Amino acid sequence: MSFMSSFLLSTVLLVNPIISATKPSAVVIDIRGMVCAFCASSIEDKFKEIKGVREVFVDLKTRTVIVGFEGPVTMSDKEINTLILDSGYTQRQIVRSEESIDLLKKKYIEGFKTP
Amino acid sequence: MLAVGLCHAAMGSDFIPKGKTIGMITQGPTMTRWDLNYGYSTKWAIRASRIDWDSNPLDTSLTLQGLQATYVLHRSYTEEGILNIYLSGGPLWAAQRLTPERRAVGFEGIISADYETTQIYLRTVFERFESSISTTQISKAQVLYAPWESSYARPTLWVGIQAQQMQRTQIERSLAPMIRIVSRRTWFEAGIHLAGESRGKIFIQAMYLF
Repeated sequence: MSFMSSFLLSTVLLVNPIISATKPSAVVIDIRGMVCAFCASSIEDKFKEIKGVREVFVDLKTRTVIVGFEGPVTMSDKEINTLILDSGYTQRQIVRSEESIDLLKKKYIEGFKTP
Repeated sequence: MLAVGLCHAAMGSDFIPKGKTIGMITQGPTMTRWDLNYGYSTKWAIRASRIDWDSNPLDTSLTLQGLQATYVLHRSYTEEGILNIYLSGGPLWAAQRLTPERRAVGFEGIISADYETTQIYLRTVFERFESSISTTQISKAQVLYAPWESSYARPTLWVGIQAQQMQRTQIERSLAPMIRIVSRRTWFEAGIHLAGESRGKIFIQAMYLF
């Protein structure tokens, strides 16, 4: 599980250009202990309350949440961390991506389909 | 007797995220319970509850209304899941519908623990309702398994068993196979008693995260 999460996050990091004029429009968050849909829905709710958030993708298998913004990411790591803590969890890693959430979801889902 | 009706004395899940409200209704063979929970902080939640027990040959009907505070004593994460231990307690208002009606103020105390992964759910609860007109003590354990790993994209089915001992006018033991369906903000479970006065009767519980 941890390997898969790390794989996804590494992939996200690798595909992002190191230097780019484009600002990140999504964040990929690895959340410890997020195993219950009932509990995870509060994380989705809290992100959706944030202005500028377009879509939230939750995957329990890898304990991952991907948050897509309408424009550039408007939340700091500290704000994201606080939101996760308020939901009852802690994050292991926050990765910012310049790719759209649609593309990230596609890569993410396809990535986990491949052995 | 009355005691066998109290199938789910405490919530199916005690953790309430900060700023969120969870409503719950439980219907057993001889009781109905409503709960409204609010997550005050990541460590504290408050709960208002009401339990209505039907009368039976050994006891009269009884209403318990409570206001409890729940404290997350322990919450830790493993590679596969999450472990929680909770302490809960608060005042209880008991009313027995006799002529004249009997009323008393008491206390409800709960200690519970659960461990959950995407396929395994374990929970144990000890709960005591104490007042001058009624005392009930409940010990309960649940073991559930999700044949298809929990997913956020679709409802998850859990199957398992619940063992319970309840002491009120007498000791009542119950074993009940049960199912649970969790779909994001909705939680539903149902079981059937295999033993005791309520043998063959079902219980249900539904929760909704607002």
